[in-house]
Amino acid sequence: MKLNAVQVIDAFVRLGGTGEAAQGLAISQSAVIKSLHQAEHELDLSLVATVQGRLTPTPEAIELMRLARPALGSLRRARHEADMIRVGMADRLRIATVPGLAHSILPPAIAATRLALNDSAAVEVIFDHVRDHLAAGDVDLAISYGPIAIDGLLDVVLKRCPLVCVLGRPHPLAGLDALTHADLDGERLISYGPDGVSRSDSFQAALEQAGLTDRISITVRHTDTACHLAREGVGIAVVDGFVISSGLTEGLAVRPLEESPLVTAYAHHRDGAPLDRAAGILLDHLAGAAT
Amino acid sequence: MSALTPAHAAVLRAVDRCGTTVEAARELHLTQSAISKIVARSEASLGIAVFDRRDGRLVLRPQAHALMRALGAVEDEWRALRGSVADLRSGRALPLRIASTPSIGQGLIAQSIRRIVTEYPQARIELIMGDAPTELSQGSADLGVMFSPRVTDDIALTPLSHASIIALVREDDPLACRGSITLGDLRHRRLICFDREKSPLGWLIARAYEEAGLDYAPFMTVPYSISAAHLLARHGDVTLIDSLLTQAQRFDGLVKLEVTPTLPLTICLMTVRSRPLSRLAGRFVDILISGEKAD
Repeated sequence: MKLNAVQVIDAFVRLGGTGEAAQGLAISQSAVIKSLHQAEHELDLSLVATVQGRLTPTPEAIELMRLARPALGSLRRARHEADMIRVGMADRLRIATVPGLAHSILPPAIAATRLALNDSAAVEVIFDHVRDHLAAGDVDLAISYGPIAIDGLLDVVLKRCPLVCVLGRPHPLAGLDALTHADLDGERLISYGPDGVSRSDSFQAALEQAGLTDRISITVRHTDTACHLAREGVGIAVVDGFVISSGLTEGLAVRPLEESPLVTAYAHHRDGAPLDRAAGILLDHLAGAAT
Repeated sequence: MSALTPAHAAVLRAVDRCGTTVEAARELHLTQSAISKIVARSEASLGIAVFDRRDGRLVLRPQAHALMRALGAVEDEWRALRGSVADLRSGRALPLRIASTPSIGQGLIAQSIRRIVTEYPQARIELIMGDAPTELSQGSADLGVMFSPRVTDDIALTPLSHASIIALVREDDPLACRGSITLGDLRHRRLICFDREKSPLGWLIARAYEEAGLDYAPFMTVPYSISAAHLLARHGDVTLIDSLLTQAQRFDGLVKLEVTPTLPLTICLMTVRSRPLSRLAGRFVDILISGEKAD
């Protein structure tokens, strides 16, 4: 099976038509059609059907591309490894994170790890798809808001903390020592959407338990966006208390949410093989930074 | 510059295993110069030197160990993909999903399945007993075969064959020796039949009752002919069902009666106009339409 053919089928399936695939691949439509027919012949599969006068991917083409995803991903990873060698980062600490934790507990832990390794550790931080990256061996360590709980991966509880409210200092509620659920009535709330990775996302569970899930008007991916919007006076950011250990709330008022459920930060790594030194140090610092 | 391909990955891995281009060429049944060219081209496309050249040998550079592991994954994944293509071709990867009723399933469809499995012995087939138009609209079935269905514009109907409504009674029933009956003969009988709203057959029979000036009031409604036939053995006096069921299956102790005037049924194939069929489903449609039988 030729890579070029797979790339053409992929574009055809993803974009839904031969014209769209041609545009996406910057080749002519006739080249796309020729390549698809050639692939049909070589693979002995039906890939293209005419439906209501339009060339459309068949169920086989769609299924083939679903099955080809890991193969295309493996090529991307190999190219990425080569890129890392080229920029002198062949030996690096690779971390996957959900956006909510990326800018709170992670940066100080990375800084402390690099310090412990005499500034010699190259670090690659990858966002999202934490479980997939870990399972594929793309990363050494990952952090998220919940256990991944799949075979071969180990979940480590780092620390728990309550939800906090971040608001601009001029905000009338900034004068209070702590905010209650009732204080937040009528306020525009900013928070994270589900991370989409954890089996149970402790941040979303805390929001739910606090009765705030349906009250969020603006969802963001990153803590700094939430803090920035609060600084602009757009609303009150309801985030996890880990944010206090970062510099993101400088110039802002951070108030505890009374009777807040706890949010848990987790680290994850592959089970069986020992963590390499840099990852071990980072894990220690993550646990420490969260306390 | 050409991108790294799975074939290049295999060559780089072989060179790493063998240590020389000559050995790698032998292992992969290529020429030594072809191997050398691929190594050079791959290194150029990746933008890095993967091997150090030492005393006529190619030695993996220390920083390229993770890359070599990644190339191993490329080899494994593309090998798995080639296997998946064979599964798709054989019909094992994508099941043929047919929504129908038990009586059509046991007759017409069973014959066609017998035919298609001679051509696709490894094919996976899901026979779904449910409301075919709904299953098709939801995308949980590729094809539907039903009696005179009511469908939306996106579903194409192709008439396949004809049948009729028949009556079943127990063999000790006074009607059993009649051979044929009218709906009027069933006026005071306890009828097991279909719901007029939920079933196209129920709708058809109810309409025939109304045209005959009779009330359609089954005391028990069932979704399928086969349920009616099984229930008749214990409850009720008579059931009206499709004629396909008794062609496909024998029911001891029950007698089949023709209904006059005849209540004809059309068995229709249903496909979604906006959704292409897999090759397996397309072939099944050909078999159904042509009435091909297994050898």
